[in-house]
Amino acid sequence: MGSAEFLTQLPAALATLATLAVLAAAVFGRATHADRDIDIDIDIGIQGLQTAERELAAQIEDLLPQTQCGQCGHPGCRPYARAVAAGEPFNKCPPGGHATIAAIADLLGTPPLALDPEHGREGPKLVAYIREAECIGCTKCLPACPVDAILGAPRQMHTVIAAECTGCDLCVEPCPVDCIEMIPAPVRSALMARDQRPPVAA
Amino acid sequence: MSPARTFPGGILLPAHKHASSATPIRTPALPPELFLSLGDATPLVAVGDPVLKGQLLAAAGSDGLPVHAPTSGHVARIEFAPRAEVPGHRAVLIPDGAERWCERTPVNPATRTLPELLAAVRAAGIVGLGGGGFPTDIKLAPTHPIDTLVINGMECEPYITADDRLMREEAGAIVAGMRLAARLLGDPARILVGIEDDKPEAAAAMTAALAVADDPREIVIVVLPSRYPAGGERQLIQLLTGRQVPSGGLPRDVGVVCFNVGTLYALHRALALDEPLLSRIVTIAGGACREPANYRALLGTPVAHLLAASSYQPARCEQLLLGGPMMGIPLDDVQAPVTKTTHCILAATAAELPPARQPQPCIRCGLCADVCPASLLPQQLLRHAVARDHRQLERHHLLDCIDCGACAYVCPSAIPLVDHYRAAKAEVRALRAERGAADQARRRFEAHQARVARQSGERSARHAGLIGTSADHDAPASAPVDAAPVATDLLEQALARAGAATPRRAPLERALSAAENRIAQLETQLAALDATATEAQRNGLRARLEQARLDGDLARQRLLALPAEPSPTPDGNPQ
Ligand code: SF4
Ligand code: SF4
Ligand code: SF4
Ligand code: SF4
Repeated sequence: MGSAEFLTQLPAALATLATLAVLAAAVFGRATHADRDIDIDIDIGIQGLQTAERELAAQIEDLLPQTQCGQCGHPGCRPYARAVAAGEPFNKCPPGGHATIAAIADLLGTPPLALDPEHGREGPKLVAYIREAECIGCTKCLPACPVDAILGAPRQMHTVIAAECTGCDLCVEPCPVDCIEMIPAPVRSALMARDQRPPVAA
Repeated sequence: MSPARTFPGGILLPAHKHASSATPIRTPALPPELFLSLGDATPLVAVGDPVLKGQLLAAAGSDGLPVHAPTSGHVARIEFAPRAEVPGHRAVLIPDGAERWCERTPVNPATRTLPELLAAVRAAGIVGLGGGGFPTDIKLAPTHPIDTLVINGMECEPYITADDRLMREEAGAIVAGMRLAARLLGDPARILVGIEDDKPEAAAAMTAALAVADDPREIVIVVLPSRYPAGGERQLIQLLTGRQVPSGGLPRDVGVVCFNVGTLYALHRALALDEPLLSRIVTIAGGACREPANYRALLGTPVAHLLAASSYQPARCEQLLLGGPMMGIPLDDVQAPVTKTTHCILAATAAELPPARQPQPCIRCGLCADVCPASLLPQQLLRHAVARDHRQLERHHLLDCIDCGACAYVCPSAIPLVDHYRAAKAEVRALRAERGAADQARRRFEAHQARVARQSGERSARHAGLIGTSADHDAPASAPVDAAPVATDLLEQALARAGAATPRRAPLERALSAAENRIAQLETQLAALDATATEAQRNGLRARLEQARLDGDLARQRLLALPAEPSPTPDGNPQ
């Protein structure tokens, strides 16, 4: 749709959003990340303000690993970036680990924090692997994948496109026969033996 | 004429070439086993299968390179090679000694179309044999108009004489390959062949072969003074044409494509004789070999086999290098196979390559910057490499460093500068790759959300009996308020969860039991590993075990957190 058309529809859209937010709050019975994100967007939409915060969120988002796993408690990396821009602690992303925390601290000009163990531990990068002989073709894992990295159809064997898999782990639980496991990702950009750092002179 | 035909920096080095350039290229006896790295190529043979020389063993993987059988025999094993340069699977071929060829159907290249020729080059698995290892068919299908074809016969690194010998013995085939390359590149106006002045026999052989070929184009053999690294691709192009390949660019950006003479030889054999790339010339040199020489080595030949043919004396060897004295890397496994990029094995005595001195702090003498052929500032790069300041490293054009080692050679503080740059380059590349993967994941996530939003929009419109136009359906996806799709998606999920009759206990219990099974399985596997198991295998199993434990713990915790009875209160946090 054109932008003029969008503007005329904006109030209606925002009203819908607001209703959704209220509904969501009612369903969850408490303030959640979801309605908070909606709040942020309504603010931006109505006032056209907070551009600085938005700008910051975009910069933070660029530093996140884009695993989209939700371990930070937000539905994806962008909402987490927004929350951090709005002041939430930036130590909740285990896939990014210490490197990401350090990068965000750098950006914000604050000292880095230790990774919050509440949200998980930093580990090696993983990819999902479907033991294809056991897959019953139920398609339950397909909608769970945030990056549509699983290929399959009803009653057909499914498989993970390893190059697109972010290792978020979200597909493991929905599988009724537990044929999906997370295995260490092949180290494609591995430092070869010849690329080891030499010692530095004192 | 064009601008300064010289390149900045460079050093004069003792050549040490006569020992191995005096004797003709030798054909070594067949080794007892050949080791062929498969990478992610798809094997087309099974263990035990008999294979013929030149037969396709594995279809090209992500690097676009097929794997062929260098000789006839049978596939003894397909095994994991953790110590290989790039750890991965490899096929082990036991030669039968008969050298029986598979069927070849040579067609006169002059009668074939360019796409056919390119496909044949790809199928032959040819890469740049000068050391780059870049697939030749990609270079031969340039995206830019090419007016100059540069042929690299410089071989400027000390000790190495593989190209020298090849030019002396096979100049005719090299010239034939050169003309094929020229045709594939759309007949560039001129062909410039660069040869260093310490190889007069090679230059003479090439001149004679060109006279026979009688090509109407402007083909010039330029004999250039020896100065290291004049054989670097960018340096040679600058020497011959005066053109400077831009930082981060490729020779084709300035209308040039450059091939090594060995590559042209392979090109000729592939197109005129229908032979895939099965062997290459390898120089075995250094004072720890009593008979330094060049070998026509089958790919996959263990280095030890060639060393033995040159009467290698391990006791005298101070440093064994894969490559020459300047750019070579330490070779700690003499069973490592010859690959398409192995051009030299240097077994140097302590007199030739004294053990590295203890590095001292940089005294900012600036010698390194004086000799750098890429006009970099090595001491700045060193500082940023040590600090792992990747932004500064990129700003100082770290990726333009060609690893020539001139800076480390002149450094009075004996700082192994190149080793620092190699490590830093690997890190910068890894970071870039990670960044690229993250951007890709974000695009896919956004597309996923847009699709989910569209579908749920369609569904709710249907439920409400509303008439939805397609414009409405697209609205959430394209609207600038980009949290809208997330919101609908989440809400829908939440409602679905709240409405579901059973809470999420069953899948959690399944996850827990699966994790427990996996733990048990992995523990047995780990215990069953014997002494021959490699550290990589062990670590792989340990990592999986650790992950299974984490999965189990998580499932257990979440089970405990569940309310005792099924209740409509959903778990608000997406996990
Ligand atoms: S934990 Fe990190 S990777 Fe996962 S969704 Fe949150 S920000 Fe993205
Ligand atoms: S395949 Fe599984 S682990 Fe990989 S991105 Fe999709 S949901 Fe995540
Ligand atoms: S190794 Fe790199 S930095 Fe050192 S002289 Fe060669 S191109 Fe310059
Ligand atoms: S040559 Fe060595 S000591 Fe001199 S400036 Fe370069 S790094 Fe420092």
